[in-house]
Amino acid sequence: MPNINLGPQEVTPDMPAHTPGIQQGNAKGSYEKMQGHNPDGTSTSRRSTGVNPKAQEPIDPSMPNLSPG
Amino acid sequence: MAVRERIKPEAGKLVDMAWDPITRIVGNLGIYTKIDFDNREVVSCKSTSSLFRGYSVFMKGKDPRDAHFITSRICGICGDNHAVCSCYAQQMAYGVKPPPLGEWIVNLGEAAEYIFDHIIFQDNLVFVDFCEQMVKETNPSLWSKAESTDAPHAEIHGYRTIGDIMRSYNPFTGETYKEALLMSRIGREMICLMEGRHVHPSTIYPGGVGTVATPTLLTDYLSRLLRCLDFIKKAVAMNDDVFDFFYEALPGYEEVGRRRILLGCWGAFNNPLYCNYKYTDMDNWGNEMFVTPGVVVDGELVTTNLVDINLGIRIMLGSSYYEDWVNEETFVPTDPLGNPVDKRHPWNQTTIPKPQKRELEGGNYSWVMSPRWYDKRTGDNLALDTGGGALARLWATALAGKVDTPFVKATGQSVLINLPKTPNTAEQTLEWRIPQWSNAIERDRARIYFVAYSAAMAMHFVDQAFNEIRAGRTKVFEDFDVPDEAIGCGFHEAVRGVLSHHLVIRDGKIANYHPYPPTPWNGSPTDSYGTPGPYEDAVMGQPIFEENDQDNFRGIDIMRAVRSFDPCLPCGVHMYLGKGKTLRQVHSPMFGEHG
Amino acid sequence: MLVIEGSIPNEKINGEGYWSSFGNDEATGEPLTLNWWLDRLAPKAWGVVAVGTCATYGGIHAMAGNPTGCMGLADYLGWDFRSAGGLPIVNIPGCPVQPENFMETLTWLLYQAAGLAPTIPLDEALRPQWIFGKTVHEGCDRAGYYEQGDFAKDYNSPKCQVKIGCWGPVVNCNVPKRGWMAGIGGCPNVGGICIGCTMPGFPDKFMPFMDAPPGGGISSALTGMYGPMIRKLRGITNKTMNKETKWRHNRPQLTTGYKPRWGN
Ligand code: SF4
Repeated sequence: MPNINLGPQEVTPDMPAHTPGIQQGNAKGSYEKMQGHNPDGTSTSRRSTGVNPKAQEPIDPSMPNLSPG
Repeated sequence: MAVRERIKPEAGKLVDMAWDPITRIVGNLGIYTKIDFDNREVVSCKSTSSLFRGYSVFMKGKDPRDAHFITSRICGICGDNHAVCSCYAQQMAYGVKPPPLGEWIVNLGEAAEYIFDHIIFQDNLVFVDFCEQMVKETNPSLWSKAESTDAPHAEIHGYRTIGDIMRSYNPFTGETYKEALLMSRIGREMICLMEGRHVHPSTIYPGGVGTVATPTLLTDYLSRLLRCLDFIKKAVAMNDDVFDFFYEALPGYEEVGRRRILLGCWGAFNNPLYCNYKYTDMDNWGNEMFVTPGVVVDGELVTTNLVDINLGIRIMLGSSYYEDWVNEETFVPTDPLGNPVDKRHPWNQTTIPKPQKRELEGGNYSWVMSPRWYDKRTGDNLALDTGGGALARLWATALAGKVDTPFVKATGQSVLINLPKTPNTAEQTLEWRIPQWSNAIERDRARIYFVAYSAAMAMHFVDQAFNEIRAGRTKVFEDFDVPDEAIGCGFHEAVRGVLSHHLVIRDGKIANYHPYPPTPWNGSPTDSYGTPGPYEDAVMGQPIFEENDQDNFRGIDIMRAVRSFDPCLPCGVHMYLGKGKTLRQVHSPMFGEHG
Repeated sequence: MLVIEGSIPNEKINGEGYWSSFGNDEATGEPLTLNWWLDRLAPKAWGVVAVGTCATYGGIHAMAGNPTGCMGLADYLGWDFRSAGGLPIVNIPGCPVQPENFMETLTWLLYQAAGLAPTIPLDEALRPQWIFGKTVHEGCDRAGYYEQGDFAKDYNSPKCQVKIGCWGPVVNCNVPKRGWMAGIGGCPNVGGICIGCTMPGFPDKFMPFMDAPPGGGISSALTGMYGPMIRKLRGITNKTMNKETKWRHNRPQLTTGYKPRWGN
């Protein structure tokens, strides 16, 4: 950079990059590890609650499973 | 270039006029013009940007997954367009395809963004140019005519005369002005429902969204959309009436802001049934987008293939404060299909800023570079514009004739938009027909039609999303790993036109990243071949219809021309009338509105 | 009142050039820098307000590797700067600023200027105390999941996002509580990790945003241990609470405990 006055570097530009080994929120396999998330993209009540999830399931198989947001 | 020859420095009474407004968006844009008052014509125009922030510089070395969070901050109005476009580019690089519901949610958010942003721009800046107060001041004889001209669509919008419509545009007091403010607010609420926040979304990620999709979410969105539709139906009719009146009452007005038909649209709203984000399939899924990408030259659709569009992009210097990169590294010599990638393509660009004095005459004068599109049929580097976004989108979509949904259908010469019955208004079918010119009026007209287009598309997306949810398919995000080496590109439409993001990953970090939003295309300075940018050549040579003399000049025709492109300049306008005389005009859009 | 948006570039480092300007010098025709304007306007203003994280602390454009030397207003004018009205700079951070936070702070200042309100309470980062005086986590509607040790592993989940990038436990901001506009939207409350966009350390100290924050591990590991037990106990109580009381029936006799008179 020719006409910008540069001083000693206090940081390298890639300091904020990823450190190997730290868990990533996008890591492959995470979906499968979550309770209540089915492989086919549907979900169960356990997706949204840890308190008595079974009791929150829809009562009839013809009903979609729509746990709250 | 032909347009440059119009400069007649020897002409009688040349007056320098400059508009140098301030904004935090894309650049502090300034328009410097010379006007020949004897011939009532603009003889020269320079578009400058006086702001540099260096995104493509400081993104190097960062985690590529941060790219959408960072690039969203490029713009204080359409940041979500950047975030989405960056996710498109990242998804290509990571080889990940979001679940369909995630894609519909993004589309719903983006549709709301078009609705909100186009309405607020039309309201705060365009209507103000066509309102009673302004027209009275600049063209008194036109105003008396407006008051006595019946509005053809009075039964739809309820205003008897053209003058009545113009009165309703008056800032702060006019009915339409106030209603449009409310609508734009509702539009932003719709964005927040889908993307968490407006203007920098919180729930948009590469791989999908974090938005929790439930019937509640869609109901909240739909109820707002229906309210907007009531307004949109009236607004389209009002716009048509006023713009048609201008053509009739001021013969020759089609010349204002007119330039050669050189339009670019990079496509919007991916269709999850087709889009897999693979570069090698990009032609295919690009053509399935719900706004068709395309380049239109002199009324002809040159291509709708995103691969062609991608490879044709050239970034020129010529009037900008940067070092050239001819001797820097070539990151992407060939694309994944084996096509050679030009040195001036964003994938191979190295941005090295070179701050210096501004030289408006024969030197460098802008922080914006000059993006051009290489037309391989002719070998020309075309200065494409976006027509303020809406015009190019409708034009390309209409000509391509591919979009076919229950609500919107492209016919080859027009776009049909079906708006359903809503609480206060009947069902309506609108037809946007390809206009004769690419000029200020048609850019402004297209904007409100595109609001209708987006709203109709949003109805379709709501239906699709409901189908997913009612089937219990709640998945909205797909996991992925970041490869060590990869490239990606994303194509999208920011509200005011073409948006592309180009990304190169090495060692799992960003090695190169270049976003190209619409304003560098539209507001670009003269390039190294001497081709002026779109604002420059649209304003150069345009006639002046304003009735005021030099001392009371408001520059309304020039303002209408520049504003028709929807430049990101919502704040203040300074005018220098030569010889130390200064005129200042301030338009102040509510800060909260642009939050 | 001077309201500044956007970060302040360093114009000392670029020779004859400029990074950001606003109008022209009438004598030379060259652009006048933002810094030129600040030097003239700030000391005369009754109050100086910095809006958004760029203007308050530098924000995105001030990240490592930036070429413009961007900084926040207080870095430029000095943290001990006092306006003509005797006020420190008033910072309203947020990237972007939550619009209602902005309007509300400005309204306080206008009341104060008119003598109708006491001096605006600011914390040591010069933020309005009543807006930024607690953490995102303390106002997050997903904190119940945290407490029960029930965490999202990717972005599909409506649960606590602390393991997938949420910095809410250590970030000062009111957005999950207030929503983004009119109570709609927000960040972790609607599925967007908190990336710390209101903080002076933003963005570098929070990047990469989609990685698990280092500090979250310990406390979430603790709740991860007792969380399942709490969920189980609550499950039992929840089951009881989901049952109606037994005297609601349509048998021919009343069993509600009704007596015509209180007592005896
Ligand atoms: S999502 Fe974030 S703010 Fe909300 S409870 Fe979890 S850690 Fe706290």
